[in-house]
Amino acid sequence: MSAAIEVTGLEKHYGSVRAVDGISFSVAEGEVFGLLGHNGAGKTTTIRMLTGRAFPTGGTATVAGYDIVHQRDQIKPLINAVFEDPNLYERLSGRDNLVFFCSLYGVAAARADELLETVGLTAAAKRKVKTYSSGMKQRLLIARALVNRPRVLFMDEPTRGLDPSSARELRELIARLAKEGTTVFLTTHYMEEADELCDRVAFLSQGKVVALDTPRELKLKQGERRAMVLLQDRSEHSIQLDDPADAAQLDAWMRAGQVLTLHSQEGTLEDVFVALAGRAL
Amino acid sequence: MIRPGIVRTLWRKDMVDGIRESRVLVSLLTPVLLAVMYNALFPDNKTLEAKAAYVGPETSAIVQMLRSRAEASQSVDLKLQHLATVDEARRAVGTKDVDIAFVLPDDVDDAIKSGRTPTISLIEPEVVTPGGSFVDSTIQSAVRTVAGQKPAATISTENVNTGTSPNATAIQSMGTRKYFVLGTIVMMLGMVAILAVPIMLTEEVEKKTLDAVLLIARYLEVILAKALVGLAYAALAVAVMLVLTRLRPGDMRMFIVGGVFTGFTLIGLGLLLGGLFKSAQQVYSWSSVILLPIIAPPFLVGIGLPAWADTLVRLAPTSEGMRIMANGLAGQAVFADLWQAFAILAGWSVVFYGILAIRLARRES
Repeated sequence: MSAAIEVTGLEKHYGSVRAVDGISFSVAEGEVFGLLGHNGAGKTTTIRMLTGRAFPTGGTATVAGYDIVHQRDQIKPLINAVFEDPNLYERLSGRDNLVFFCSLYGVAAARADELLETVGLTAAAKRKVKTYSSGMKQRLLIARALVNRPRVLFMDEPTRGLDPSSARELRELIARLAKEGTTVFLTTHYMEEADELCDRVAFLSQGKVVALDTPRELKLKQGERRAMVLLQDRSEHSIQLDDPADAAQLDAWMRAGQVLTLHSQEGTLEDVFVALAGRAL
Repeated sequence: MIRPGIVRTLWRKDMVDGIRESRVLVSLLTPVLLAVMYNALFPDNKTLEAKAAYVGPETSAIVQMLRSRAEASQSVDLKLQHLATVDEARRAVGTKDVDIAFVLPDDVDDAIKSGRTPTISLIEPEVVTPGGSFVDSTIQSAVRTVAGQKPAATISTENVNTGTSPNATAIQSMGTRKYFVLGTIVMMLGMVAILAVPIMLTEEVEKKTLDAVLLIARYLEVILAKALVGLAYAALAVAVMLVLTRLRPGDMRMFIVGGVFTGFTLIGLGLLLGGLFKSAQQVYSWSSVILLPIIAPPFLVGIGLPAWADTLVRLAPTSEGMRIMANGLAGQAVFADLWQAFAILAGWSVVFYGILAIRLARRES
């Protein structure tokens, strides 16, 4: 697969502060890529640079094959973004918001109705956005980000403030977009979400990428090669997966039908993040 | 490169959305209401309306002199109509359609010049109106002039310097009503540029809608659209004010040029201010301080300030806009040396848009 995003030594300085400090990574087309980090780690600054709203101090990056500094105009129609804040025109209706952005991207207004249906807002299309609940606003933000059928979609905390069922619907939508070939660049505070959605994640700490891999590999690297066994007599046993004696014991328990549950002791993404960045998100 | 389609889309959205912002609406409505109030409160200086009819040659020197003296007086609004017969003239006076009518013999000018003493008949109501008196006395004076009679005495006029500017009489020559209505029109241009445009811009930044727009549009396209919205709002408000006050610019071209140039210059300042403030509420809170030096000068420039104060007031772009538009509204040279007004406005435009260009270049780098 070719790279939808290619970042090499990207830097952004604000005076003496290095908000982004020489990060490098590559995101393949159709991949869901997660960028995780504390507030102020440099996630939003990275997105701002990749979407052409801030200029890098150093390094290079391409999005959809175009340079983010010198070919911004070619990038613009190929990308879109869901922002952390519900930045909608509240005095306009939901449909008018979408029609406005359709017009900006040179897309027929019929796309607005199609998207309203996709996100389940057809009934509220003519209502002013200021009357929408936060979940409805979030769904409208998603719809807005899809007006131009972007090749690369940036999503900054897309499920923040959503109820569990809306968040699940959104995660399903993201998975569907990725399946259809859209590259999704995601930042989130929710580790379970990143674990479920992302093909790969990068941990950002103090402007630097401190880890980058698939969630499974990251968890394996940081997790212990142990398993917890719960037997019929409710006794718990920790076994070392590399120890032949423990393996023989487990085999015996299983043959005797004594094993009630068996859990591997790999770490969670949260554990990995704490280990690498020093504190939880 | 600016993409017209993007600018048009942004402009259309702002035209609809901007007016729904109450602070923008207030900045438009306040001057309109003030203009209506001034229009109702202040009488015109040209209060004397003289309606006259005549029978006889339209090319007569007497008719021409009557017209030119009424125009020169600036205090008489003469409405003169030509009628075919004396009976029609009598009827017009009898029905009070005119204040006075006069009948000129066909060869009246030649007859006066050759000393044949022609008869000019005046048809007046029993109670002569001030308009009728004006026409009566002007005809008598015109007859003496046509006859080549020298005035009994030469009256010379000397202008004494009273420390006021040469434009001290602008308010008198335009009339209080026109002057103050025009002042509110220029005030409205200031309020749209310094209040409405920055509010629309800072609101986009504050609510972060600008982030979404800038994914596809350029910042230059966004501020160009805001500037055009400001000009469109101003044009609509001026049209409404002229309709409500029933004022018709005597020199429409000069009036429009003055309005557009003033609006363009002030919007440059408004766009700069929009970049300085972080929220629309901040703009609104500071507006009274910012607006005062913008909206006060147009009301002061024609009232006869001491020369030093007049010079100070003339530094404001709105006072220069007022000077140009006053000439346009009055259809005459109320203010002299308009090139100075254009030069000062051009200077401010260079300053405002120059700084804006530098800020834009920094933003793009």
